Amino acid sequence: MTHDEFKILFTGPMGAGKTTAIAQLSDDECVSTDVVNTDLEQCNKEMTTAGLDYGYISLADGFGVRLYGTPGQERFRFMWPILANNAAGVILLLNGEHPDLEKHLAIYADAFANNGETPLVVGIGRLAANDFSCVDLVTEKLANMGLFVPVISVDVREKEDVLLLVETLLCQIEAHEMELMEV
Amino acid sequence: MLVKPASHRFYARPALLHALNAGTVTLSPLRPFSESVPEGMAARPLFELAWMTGAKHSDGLLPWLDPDSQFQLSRWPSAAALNKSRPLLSLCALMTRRALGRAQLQILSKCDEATFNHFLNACEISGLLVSERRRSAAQPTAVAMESQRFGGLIRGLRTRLGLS
Repeated sequence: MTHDEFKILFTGPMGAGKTTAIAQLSDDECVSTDVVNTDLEQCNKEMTTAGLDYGYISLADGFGVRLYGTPGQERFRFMWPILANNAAGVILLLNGEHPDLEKHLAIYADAFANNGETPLVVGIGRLAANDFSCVDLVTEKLANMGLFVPVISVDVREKEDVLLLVETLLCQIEAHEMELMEV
Repeated sequence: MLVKPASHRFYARPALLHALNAGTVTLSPLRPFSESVPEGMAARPLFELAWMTGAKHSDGLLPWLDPDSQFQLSRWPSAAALNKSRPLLSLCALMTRRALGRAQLQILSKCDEATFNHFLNACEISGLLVSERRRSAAQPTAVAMESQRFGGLIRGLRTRLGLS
């Protein structure tokens, strides 16, 4: 990672929308390492990401932003710290209708929040329009872990929703950076 | 409008919700009501009513808030309440990390006075605001925000994504 680029990491369980979110932002078609999903119990979709997703947003003067998506299956967990290394911030995507939502939250928040030191935004997908309790539940669970981070109901198929996640994360990164400068 | 504190919901017809959001309605005191919710009323989170009360139905800072205090948030408000406003998102990001004074918060978030007061009021009514009367050791400035490691990249990304 050089000084003219930075990295945003998308993480979360299978089927949470990481590949879709990165594709919404990336300049070129998202590089995905999809394979046939053999874990249909966790997520009923045909293909899933085995290695990583990668996208890139080029900025002016040769600057750029790298977008990485972690593999959703826990057996590829060994890749998480590699991908998280030097990330400016993390967007955690969760499937709001999955029965293991709370378990997923605990696993991924524990793995990526770095005790609140890494700027983090949580996006919850597949929520009914009148389902307000899921966001509250996740917010409360995170607070119990000492994590006071934004939790947003999103549909990653909508670019506006993905942009809201990014804007919220950028505000988190700015606040975090400012704190670092004063230490 | 009906309020059900036990389920953290309130119910209102769309026209009233719109008026509440616009701050163009005065509510009468609540009274007990035991019948079922009439048809046509939409359920909304109670947090939203508290937020709108603070944000839309107050002028200046609430009288019991000391303007010289340092302010912090106990948690993030609902994203919907922030209406995708960058100054408000920025205030939340700053205030969930530590307590800061009004002047610093306004400079860092680039939030105008009226919006800032409404935000503090809404956080207070919603039970999210923590105020303390002490000075922080370091007073961050706008210069600090501009000279961050990622400052140029963040500005560039916002421009590139149309977030500016």
